[in-house]
Amino acid sequence: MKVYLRKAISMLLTLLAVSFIVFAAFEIIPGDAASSRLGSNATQASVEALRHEMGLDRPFLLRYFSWLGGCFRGNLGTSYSYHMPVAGMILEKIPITVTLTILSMLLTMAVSVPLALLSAKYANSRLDRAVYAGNQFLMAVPSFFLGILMTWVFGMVLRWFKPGGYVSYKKDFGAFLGYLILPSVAIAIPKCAMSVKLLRSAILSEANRDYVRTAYSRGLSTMEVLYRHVLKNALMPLITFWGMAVADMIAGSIVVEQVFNIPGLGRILLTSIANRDYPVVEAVILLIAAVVLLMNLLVDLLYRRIDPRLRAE
Amino acid sequence: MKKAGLVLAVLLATMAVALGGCTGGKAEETTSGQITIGIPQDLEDGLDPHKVSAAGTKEILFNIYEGLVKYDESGDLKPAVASDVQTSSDGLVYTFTLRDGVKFHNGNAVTAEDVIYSINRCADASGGEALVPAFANITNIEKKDDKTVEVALAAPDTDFLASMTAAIIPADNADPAVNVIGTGPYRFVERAPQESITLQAFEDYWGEKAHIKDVVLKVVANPDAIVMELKGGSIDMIARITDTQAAELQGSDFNVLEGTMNLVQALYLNNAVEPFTDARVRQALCYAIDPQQIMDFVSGGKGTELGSSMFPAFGKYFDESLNHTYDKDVEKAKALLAEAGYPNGFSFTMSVPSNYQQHISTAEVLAEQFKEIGVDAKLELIEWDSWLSDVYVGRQFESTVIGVDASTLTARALLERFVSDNGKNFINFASGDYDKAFAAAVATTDDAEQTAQYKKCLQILSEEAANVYIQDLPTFVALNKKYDGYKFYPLYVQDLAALYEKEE
Repeated sequence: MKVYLRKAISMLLTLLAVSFIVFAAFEIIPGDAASSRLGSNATQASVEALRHEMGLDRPFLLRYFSWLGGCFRGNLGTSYSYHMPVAGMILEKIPITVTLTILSMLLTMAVSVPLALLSAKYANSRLDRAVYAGNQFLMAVPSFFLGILMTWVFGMVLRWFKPGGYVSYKKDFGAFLGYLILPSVAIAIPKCAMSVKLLRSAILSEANRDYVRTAYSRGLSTMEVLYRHVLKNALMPLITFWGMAVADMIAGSIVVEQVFNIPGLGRILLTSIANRDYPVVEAVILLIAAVVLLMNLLVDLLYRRIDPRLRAE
Repeated sequence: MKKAGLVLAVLLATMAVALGGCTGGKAEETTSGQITIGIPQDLEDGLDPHKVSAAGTKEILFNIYEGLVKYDESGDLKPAVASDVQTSSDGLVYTFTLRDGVKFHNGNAVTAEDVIYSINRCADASGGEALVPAFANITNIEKKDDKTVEVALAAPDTDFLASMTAAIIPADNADPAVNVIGTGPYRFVERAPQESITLQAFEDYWGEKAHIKDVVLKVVANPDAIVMELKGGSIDMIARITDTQAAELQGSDFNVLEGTMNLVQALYLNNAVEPFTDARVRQALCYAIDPQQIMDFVSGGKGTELGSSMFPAFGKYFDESLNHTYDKDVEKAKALLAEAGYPNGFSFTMSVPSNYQQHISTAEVLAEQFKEIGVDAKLELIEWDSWLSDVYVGRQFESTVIGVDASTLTARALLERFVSDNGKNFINFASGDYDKAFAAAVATTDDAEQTAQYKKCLQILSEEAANVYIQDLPTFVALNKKYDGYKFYPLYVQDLAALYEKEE
C-alpha cells in the first residue's frame, strides 16, 4: 500500500514539474498570445494593452500559480485562440488520438506475438531469416514516411483510401475507424518490427535455461513448454517496450496526425504552440505526461502480476 | 448636402446590369448543394469580426459579416447594410440610411442601435488605439430616426467610407467571438478546432442569396497533402496553391484559376539599423537584384514586378515607371557601396517566417543576387509568432522578406505605415518629405491633388530605396470542374456566395 502512495505522490510531483517547465518555456520563447492574436495589426501600444487585458503582464509566478489554482479547482482555463473552455476542447480530441493509439497497439500485439513465436520456433530457418530482414528494414523506417508512402500507394495509385477523407467520430464511427486503419498501420509497423525482434531473442535466450530442460524432461511438448513457461518469462522485456510504445504513440501522434490530416491531440498541440495558446498546450502536455506515468505504473503492476518475486518486497 | 453616394449610385446601376446579365449555365435561384473548401489554417484568432487580424480569418468572415458598405469584386464600395450614404459638402458629416429588411442571422432586424453599437465598439480606444484607426476621427454618432444614422468627423477623410466596411453586429450579443451573428450571405453553423468550420446559406439575406447551401471549410494543415486531397476528392476547392501544385493538377478534375495576391512583396529593410541607415546602401541592394529572375524561380515567371509600396489592383496610384528606378546594374551597386564606405561589401541577416515558402524561395534567390556585389545575406528562418513579436512589433531585425497587404482598398492602408511616427512603421522609415506628402494627401478632399500626393509618397519610397521592392505574387485557385463562379477580388477575401454548382 505504502508503495502505491509513494508512487502516487511522485507522479503528482512529476506532473507539477512538467507543468512548470512548460509554463517557463513559454516565458523564454519569443512572442505571446497577445501579439499572436493581434497579428499584423499589432503596434507596441496595442500589444501592451491586450497583454494587460489578458493578464499577461502579471509576474510569471503569479500567473503560474493562478493557473495552477484553477487546475486544482477543475478549471483548465479558456483557449486564447478559440475562446472555448480548454477541458471541453481536449475532451473532444481525446477519442481521436486514443482510438488511433488503441488500434495501433492492437495491431502491434496481434501481429508481433505470432510472428515472434514462429520465428523463434523455426529459428534460423528461411522464414526466420526473412522476418529478420524485414524487421531490420521496417524498424529503420519512420512512421511519417510510411504514412506518406501508404497515402500515395493506397490513396493515389490503388484508390482504396481517400487521402484527407477524415470523418468525425461523432458523425460516422465506422467511417472514422476506417480512416484510422492506414495511419495506425503506419504507426504499428516500426513498433511491430521492434516487438518481434525483442520477443524472438527473449524466447531464444530463455530456451537455453535450466527450467526449460526440466520442463522437457517432465515430458512436456515443445508447444506446452513455449506457452506455459518460456513465454511468461520472455514477455517481460516486451511489456516494458509496449508500455513505452503506448506513450510514444500518443506523443508521436503529432507527426502522423499531420501526415494524415487527422485533427487530434497532436494537431491541436502543434497549432496551440504556434499560437502561444498556453492553456491548451499545458493541458495537452499534462495529459501526455500523465499517460506516460500511468503506463509506467501499469507496466509495474503487470510485472508484479507476472513475476511473483516482485510482489514480495 | 453633396452626394458622395454618387459612386454608390453609379455602382448600383452597374450592379443591376451585371445581375440582369448573368444567367448562363447556373443552377439558378435555388440554394442547394454542398462544397468542401480547404483552408490552410484554422481561424485561430477567434471569430469576433472587430478583433480578428489574420488575413486567412478575415477572408472567411467576409461571408458572414457585413458593414454599412462592402467591397465588390472590382474593388468598389457598394451599399450593404446601409442602402444610401450622403456626405455633407464640408466632408464632415456622413448620413447613412439603413436598408429595409436587413436581418441578422438570429432573425432579428438590424436597428440603428446595432449600427451605433458596432461603430462605437470599433472606435473604442481602450486597447491603445481604436480597433478601426480611422474611427478615432469620429466626434459624434447620432440616431436621427429608426432608419438613419449620422456620423460626424473631426476632420474630412476621403477614405472614411472604406472603414465603414467594419462589421455590423447585434448590440445584445455579449460574446461575439463565440456567438457568431452577422448579416452576410452565409451564417456560421459550427466549428471543430483544427478540423472544420461549417457555414450555411442565410435564407433571409437581403441581397442576392448564396447559390450553394452548405459550405464546409476543412483545415488542410499539411501543405504537401493539398494535391492529394484535391485529387482524392476530400476537398473541392482551395485558394492560394503554388505554381508547382497548379502544374500537378493539370489534366485532373480541377480548373486552376490565376489571380494576384495583391500584396507588396519586398525585402523590407530596417532603416534604423547599420548599414541600412545609409540610403546608398539600400539603393545598392536595389541595383543588385532582378525581380524577373526571382519571379522565374519562385513562381514560374508569373507575378507582377513592383517598384514601390503599391500594386496594380489600385489602378490610379500604381506607377509602372517606378519599376525602373533601379534596373539591375552591378557596377553601379558596387560604386554606391564603395561610396558609402563598404567597398568590400558587408553581411546581414534576412529573417523570414518559416511558414511562407514563396518568401523563403525569394530570399534564397536574393542571397545569390547579392553575392554578385559582394554582399553576404544570411537567411534565418523564424517561426511566424516570433516574426510577429520580434520583427514586426519589436523591430529587432535587419531585414525580412514578407508581403504587405492593404487592409482596406485605400492608398492610405498601404502608405500610412511609412510615416515616421506610425505604430506600424516596422522598417523605421523616416523621411520628412514623405511625412509631408502623406499629411497633404490625407488632408485634402480633392481627388486629383490626393492622387498626386500619394504618387509623390510612392516616388519617395522608391527613390529613398526604403525597401528592396520585388513583386506582387501570383496566386492560383483550384476549383473542381463541378463548380464555377469564383471571383478574384483586389482584396484578400473569398466570396463564397458567388460560387455555384454547374448543371450536369
